[in-house]
Amino acid sequence: MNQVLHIFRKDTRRFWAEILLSFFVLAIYAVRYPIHWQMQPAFTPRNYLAVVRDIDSLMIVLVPTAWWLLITRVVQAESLVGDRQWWVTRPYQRYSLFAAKALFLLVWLYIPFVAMEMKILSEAGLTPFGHASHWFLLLSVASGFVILPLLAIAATTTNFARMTMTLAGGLVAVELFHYVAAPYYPIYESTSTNSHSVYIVAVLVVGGAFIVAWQYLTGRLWLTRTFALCVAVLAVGVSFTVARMRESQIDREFPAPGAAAAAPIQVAFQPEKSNPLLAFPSERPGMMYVQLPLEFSGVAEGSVVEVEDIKFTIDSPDGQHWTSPWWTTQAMPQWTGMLNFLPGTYHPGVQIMMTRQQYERFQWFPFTLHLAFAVTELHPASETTAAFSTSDFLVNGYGVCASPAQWYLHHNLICRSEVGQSRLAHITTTWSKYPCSESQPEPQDLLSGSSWTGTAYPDRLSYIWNPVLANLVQPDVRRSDGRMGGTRELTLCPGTPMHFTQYAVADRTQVSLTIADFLLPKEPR
Amino acid sequence: MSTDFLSSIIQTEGLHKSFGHTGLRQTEVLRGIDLVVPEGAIYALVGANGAGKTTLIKVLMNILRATSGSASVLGWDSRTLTGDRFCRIGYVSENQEMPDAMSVGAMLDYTRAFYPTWDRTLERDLIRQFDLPLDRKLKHLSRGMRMKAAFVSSLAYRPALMVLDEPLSGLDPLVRDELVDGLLERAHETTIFLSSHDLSEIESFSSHVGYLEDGRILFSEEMTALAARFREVTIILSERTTAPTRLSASMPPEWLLPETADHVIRFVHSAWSGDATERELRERFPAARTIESEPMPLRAIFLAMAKSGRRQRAIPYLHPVEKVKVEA
Repeated sequence: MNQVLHIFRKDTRRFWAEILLSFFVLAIYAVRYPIHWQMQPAFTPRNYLAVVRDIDSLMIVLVPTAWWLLITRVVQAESLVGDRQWWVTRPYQRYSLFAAKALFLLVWLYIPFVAMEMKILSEAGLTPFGHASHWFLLLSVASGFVILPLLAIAATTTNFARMTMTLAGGLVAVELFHYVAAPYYPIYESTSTNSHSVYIVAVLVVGGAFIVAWQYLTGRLWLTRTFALCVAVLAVGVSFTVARMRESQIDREFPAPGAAAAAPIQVAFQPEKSNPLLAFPSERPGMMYVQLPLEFSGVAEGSVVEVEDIKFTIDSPDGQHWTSPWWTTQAMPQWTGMLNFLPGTYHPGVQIMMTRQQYERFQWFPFTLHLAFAVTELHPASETTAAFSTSDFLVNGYGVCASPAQWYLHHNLICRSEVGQSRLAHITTTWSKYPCSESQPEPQDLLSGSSWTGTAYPDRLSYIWNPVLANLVQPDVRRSDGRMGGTRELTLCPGTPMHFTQYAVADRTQVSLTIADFLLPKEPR
Repeated sequence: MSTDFLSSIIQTEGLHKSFGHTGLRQTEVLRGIDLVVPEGAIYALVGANGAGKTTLIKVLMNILRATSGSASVLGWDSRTLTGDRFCRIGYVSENQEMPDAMSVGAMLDYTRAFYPTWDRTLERDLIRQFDLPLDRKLKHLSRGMRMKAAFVSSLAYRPALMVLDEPLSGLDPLVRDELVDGLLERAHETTIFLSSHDLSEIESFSSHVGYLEDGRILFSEEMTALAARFREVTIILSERTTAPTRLSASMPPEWLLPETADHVIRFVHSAWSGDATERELRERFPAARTIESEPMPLRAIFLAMAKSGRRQRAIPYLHPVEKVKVEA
């Protein structure tokens, strides 16, 4: 233990500049991150997302860079590679050296990182010690994707230059791999069922920790490098497998309903002038979107149905048959709500994606289109009412919401909660047709507005290390045609009650729709 | 070899070390080293650059792994040298990395805590003797000063064995003498094993010497015995007799660097044993008018060894000289 502390003290004295730099970057992060919900006067809802994205991108580069410097310097102070190191002919115990470096990283990297996270949670008005799973997730993601890979490279290279070259080579290899493997990876993504991704994190954390410990305790460099290669190959293999497992996972988690079972929601194909059938190019090269005008209805009173994923099958008269993978459902951009449906009738345009080759092959003749939706039925779990305020107001069981002063006129508020804790919530409130005054508006001067926030599966793994999730919420009014929108002339007055109904998952199933003689629309010129 | 194996501090048997993968440009640097360093010796391992001295030392210090063979240091298998075992071994190398960001004082403070036997008084004496600036960072020191700092950090805990890899190379004579003096003052309690490619550096104070040539130990013995068995022999034949032009084809392996001219034969005898050898020579050369044998300075001995070794490699038909074994 004495040797551990002795080496730790030496490293701390020697690398104070690197430690301070790391602190500085984390401090900037802790100070800047609340911008997600503390709007600056210059911000508007239009540039808010861009500003937040820029800050996040910057920190995703700066924090790992500071850690890269810190980790490389401290590990290579007693380099594990080479035959000229001073320490190898001194009475260093290898396990003491390993423990000293681990202690250093614990004290000067992990604890400041956790402190930064706590500071952000505290700034957000949330409980820093709320959920152990939250911390486990954050630390696992940071360790698996950043800290342990950096440690493993530092422990198997001679000096800073070689470490940097290896790191750069690794990043180039990852990019190349992405480029080469892209055709073989499922291009469809499903956000509702990414829990298997935990296997990738587990491989990186366990594999990375093993590589570092092995190199410290044995010094068998080539064997360590072989292990590192094996872990990298294993992680790639697992990511492939996980991508393929999504299909079977969705089929398992969202079973097709029995013959007698009533569907939680009805779906119909309903083209109309305001919601036409469309085809247009996707942002992905070589892909096409087909936007289907659908009608969702029949949700039972007291329930909500969230549509998670969609897959479609094409059966053409000439015997051709093609089934897509499951894919996260996307609605037309004008559909402001998520695909969450309360009792009532809704007409979103839901998009499916196919390759341009498929589109051009099938666009000339009618075919049968089968649609399958993976849907989650949710029931109310809790209800909370809070008074709308331009300052923070607590929503029990959800988080903290506020409408920054300059946003007040834009009818938005931001609700924040801990990562993994933002359960699906329906927010309802009332708008006033006239500017706020001290007197209460008459009932006929009020319009009800509503919005969704959160998700049915908040605890599913996401690769982020931000501790607070901020959601932009616009409690829009519903127009006479059932669509949302149109609060420009309305006012949300301080003190107005806002009802938050949080939902919990009750059931999962599949809902299907078959459209006979479906003809793909022409692509607009 | 006048060596008591029971009190050997370093012992190797059939030590091989190769670099590179089998069959793919493999370089064999050590080719079966058998070596014994007795306790209390000041053993100098001498050889040209590239002979394998540093590799041998790194194998002994468990910095490199031998390909085959065995080595023991202070009675421990060299492959187990790690951690606490280095409390009894001091190692200084000309190309060793030092904690350059530290000052001399900080380095000594840091190093001290690793050694239970660290002697503060000795440390202070050595610092004074070497005139070391404690507040200067190692990276700002001259090569000689860095070596002095390394010596202090390796002598102050009174190790049983000091292993020095070319510690004096490139140092000015004054610094070299200071370091040697510092080393010799500890010689009564420490076995010293050092390597050098410069004979003049070590001949004045070494008690034993080993000669490494192309990964093989050509000889390993006490300095006094070595000086006694090497003679430069000049045989003058009678005027009616002409010296053979190709003496090397029939000469014994102990004769090195033969030269013949008219009536004169000259060579280095590497196993001279006084009158007995002279009688043998007279029997071999009955026409010899005189046989003169001159003791050789150490430098001349090594040059003869080195030249004969290279000539063997250059002229393959010559009788190969195996390791010379001489019982002193």
